[in-house]
Amino acid sequence: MNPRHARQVIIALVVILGAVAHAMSGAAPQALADSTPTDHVTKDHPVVLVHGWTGGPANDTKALLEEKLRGEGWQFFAFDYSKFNTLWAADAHIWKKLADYITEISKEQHAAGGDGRVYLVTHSMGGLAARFAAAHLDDPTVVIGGVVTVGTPHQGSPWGNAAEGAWGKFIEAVLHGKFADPGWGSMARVCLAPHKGDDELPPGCAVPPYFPSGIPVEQIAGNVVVERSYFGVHAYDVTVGGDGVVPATSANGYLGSAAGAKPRGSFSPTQVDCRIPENAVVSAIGSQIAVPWQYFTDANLLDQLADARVGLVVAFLLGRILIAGDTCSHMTMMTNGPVVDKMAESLSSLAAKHSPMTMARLKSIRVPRLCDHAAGKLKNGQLPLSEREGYVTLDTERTRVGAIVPGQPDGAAAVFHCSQGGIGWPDVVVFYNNLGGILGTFDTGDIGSTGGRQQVSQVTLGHSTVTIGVGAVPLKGDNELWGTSRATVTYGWNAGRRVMSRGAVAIEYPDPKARQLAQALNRRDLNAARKLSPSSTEEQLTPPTGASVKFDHCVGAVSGEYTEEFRGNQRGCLIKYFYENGNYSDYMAVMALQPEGWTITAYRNVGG
Amino acid sequence: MLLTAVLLLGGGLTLWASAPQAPPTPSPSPVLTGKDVLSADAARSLEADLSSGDKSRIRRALTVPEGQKLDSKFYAGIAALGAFTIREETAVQLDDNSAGVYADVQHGRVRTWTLLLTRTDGGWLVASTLKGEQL
Repeated sequence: MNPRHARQVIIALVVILGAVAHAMSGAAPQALADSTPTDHVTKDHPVVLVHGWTGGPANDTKALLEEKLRGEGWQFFAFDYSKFNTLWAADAHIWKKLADYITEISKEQHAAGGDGRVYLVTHSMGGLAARFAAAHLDDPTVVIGGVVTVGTPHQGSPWGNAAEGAWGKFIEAVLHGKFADPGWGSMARVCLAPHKGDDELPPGCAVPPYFPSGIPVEQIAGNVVVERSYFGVHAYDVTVGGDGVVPATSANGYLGSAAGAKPRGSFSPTQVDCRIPENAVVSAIGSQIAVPWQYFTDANLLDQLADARVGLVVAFLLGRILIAGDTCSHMTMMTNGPVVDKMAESLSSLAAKHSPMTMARLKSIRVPRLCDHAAGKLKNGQLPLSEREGYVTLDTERTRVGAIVPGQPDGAAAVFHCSQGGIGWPDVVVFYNNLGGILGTFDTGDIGSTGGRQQVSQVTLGHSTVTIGVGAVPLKGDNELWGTSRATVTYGWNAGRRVMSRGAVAIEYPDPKARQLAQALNRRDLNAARKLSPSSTEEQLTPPTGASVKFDHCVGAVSGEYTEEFRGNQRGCLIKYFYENGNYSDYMAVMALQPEGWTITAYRNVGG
Repeated sequence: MLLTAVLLLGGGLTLWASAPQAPPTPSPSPVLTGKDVLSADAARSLEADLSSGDKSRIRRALTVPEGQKLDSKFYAGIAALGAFTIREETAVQLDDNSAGVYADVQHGRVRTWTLLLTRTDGGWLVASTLKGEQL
C-alpha cells in the first residue's frame, strides 16, 4: 500500500469505525433500562416506538413526534429491547417483552379513560418484532390501533443472510481474526434474508406472521436519490430504489411477505425520496471512492438489489450512501424531517380509522359520480359546480350518521339532491364507512317505473341496516315528473362483499284498496264500502241490482284513460259493472296517497 | 438501525481492502504522479472535449453510463463554463485505473476542481468532480 493509500484508508477507517461506535453508543446505556412504561399513561392515544436491529430506544424520534403532534392528543413511549437487539425478532426476548409492553400501556390508557388502542411506529426490524408480538396478544385488533412501519424489511434485505454471497464471505473473511465478535454475526442477519410470501427463510428463522385482519398498516419506504453532477452542473439522478439497506419494494412489501391468506384491511405504501448530492457522497470519505462511479448505473444497482446479489461495488456504494446521507439513509430515517412528517400524517390517518363519521366531515367528503356529474369532493356540502352545470347537494336533514359496518365506528347514509340539464334528478343515497370509504349507492330512480324525480323522505339506521323511505315514486302511467307513490327500501351490510346490498323493496300501490272496494260493492256490503270510500254517498256505493262488480285496473295521469277524472298527483282505479244483458259501465275510484296509505277520495261513474 | 453496523463496517472494510486489492493486479504499483499519470496530450484532449460545446464530445469525456439520459440543461451548463485547463503536473495515480488531477475552469472567475479520473480502454475519463483541491 502506498503512503497516500494508507493515509486515505486510515482516515476512512477512523470515520467509519467512529460512525459504528456512534451507532452503537446510543444503545449501550439504554441496554440497562427495563422496557416498562414507567411514565404516566394518560387517556391520549399511546404510540409505542419500536427500534430496529442493533438499535436503542427511539428517543430522538419520540421528541420529534411529540413536537410535531403537540396538542393533538398523543403520548409516546420508546420501547427498549437493546439488550437483545442482535437477536431475530422471533425471539421471545423481543416479541414477548413488546407484547407485554403494549398490553400494559393499553390497560393503563384504558384505565385513564382512553379507548385502549395502542399505535406502533416501528423502524426496520422493529416492524417485524411488532408482527410477532401482535400474534401473541389476547385481542390484537382491539389493543393495536394501527402500525406505521418505517424502512421495515418486510420482504427482507439484500444484506440479510449475505454470508452466502460474495459480500458476506468478504466480511466473514475479514472479520475473523481481525475483530472481536461485535454481535452482529447474529441470527437476525441471517433471518433478514430476502424472501416473498411463500418462500421459507433460512433454517431457524421463523417468518413474521401478518398482523391480524383489521389492523391497518402504513408502510414508509425511504428512497435515496443521488444527484450526479459534473463541475456543479446537474447531469442525472441515480435512484437507489431503497434506503441503502432495505429496498423500497421490501419496505412497502408487507402484503406478500408471508405465506397463507393475506389479511384484510388498509395497508398504505408510501415512499419518501431523499436527495443526496453526489459530492456529499464522494467527499464523505475521500476521493478514493470515486472510481466505482462508472459502475453506478441504475440497472446495475437495481438488478443486484432485486436479485439479492449484492456485489462488492454495490456494497461499497451503499455503504458510502449510509455515511454521506447523514439525514437520508436507513440509519437516520427515523429522524429525517420528511419521514417524521409522514409518520405524523400516518398516525393521524390511523387514528381517523377509529373515529366515527360526522356531519361536518360529510360536508367535505368525496362523492361518486352522481347525476352524470363527475366524482368529486364536496365543499360546504355541495359539489363545486356552476349554476349552468347543475348541483349536487348534501341533504343534512335526511342524512343519517350511525352504525353501518358491524364492529366499526359510525358511518353514514348520506342523501344527495342533484340536478343536471336544467332539471332535478332522483335523489341518491351514498353509504359511507367511518373513513369516508364508499360502501354503495342507492339511486332512488331505480324504484318504480322508469323516469321520475324520486325523493328520499326519511332514512332510519338499524343494526347495520338502513331503511329508506322514498317519495314521488312513479307508477305506470304517472307523469314522470310527478310520481304518485312511495316506497320503503332496505339496505344491509353484505359481509362477504363488504358493501351495502339492497334487500326488500316495498312500493305502495292503490290497487289493493280499489280491489277491496269492488269486492264490497259486489257483495252489497254498504258499511264496508263506506269505510273504504267515506266521501261517497249511499247511492254511489249501491250498484244496480243484478250487476256484477269487478276491479279492473288503475291508471295514471298520462295513461290516456279517463285522465280528466283525476289530478296529476292521483291515480284512477277502474271498477266495472257487468250487467245481465251483456253491457257494462265504468266506475272510477279516485285514489290519493295519504300518510296512512292510498285512500279513495271519490267514486263515480265515468262512462258506459 | 438494521444492519447499520455491518454496513458501516463493511463500507470501511471495503475501503480498507480496496486500495491494496484494486483490480486487476493484486500487488500495489509504485505511486505515479504528474505527466507519468496523465500525459499533456491526454489532458489537452479532455480539455478540448469538455470545452467543445458539442454534446457527443462532452459526453465522451465523462463516465456517463451508456443510454443514460442527461438533464436537458446539462450540455448548455457545461458549455457556459468556458475554458478548461487541466494541470497535468498535479495528477496523482490512485490505483491502476484511477487518478486525480486539478483543473481550472473559467467561469466569471477561475475556479479549481479536483477531477477524479478513471481509465477506460486506455484513455482517461472524468468520473467525478469535487470543488477545490482535494487530493
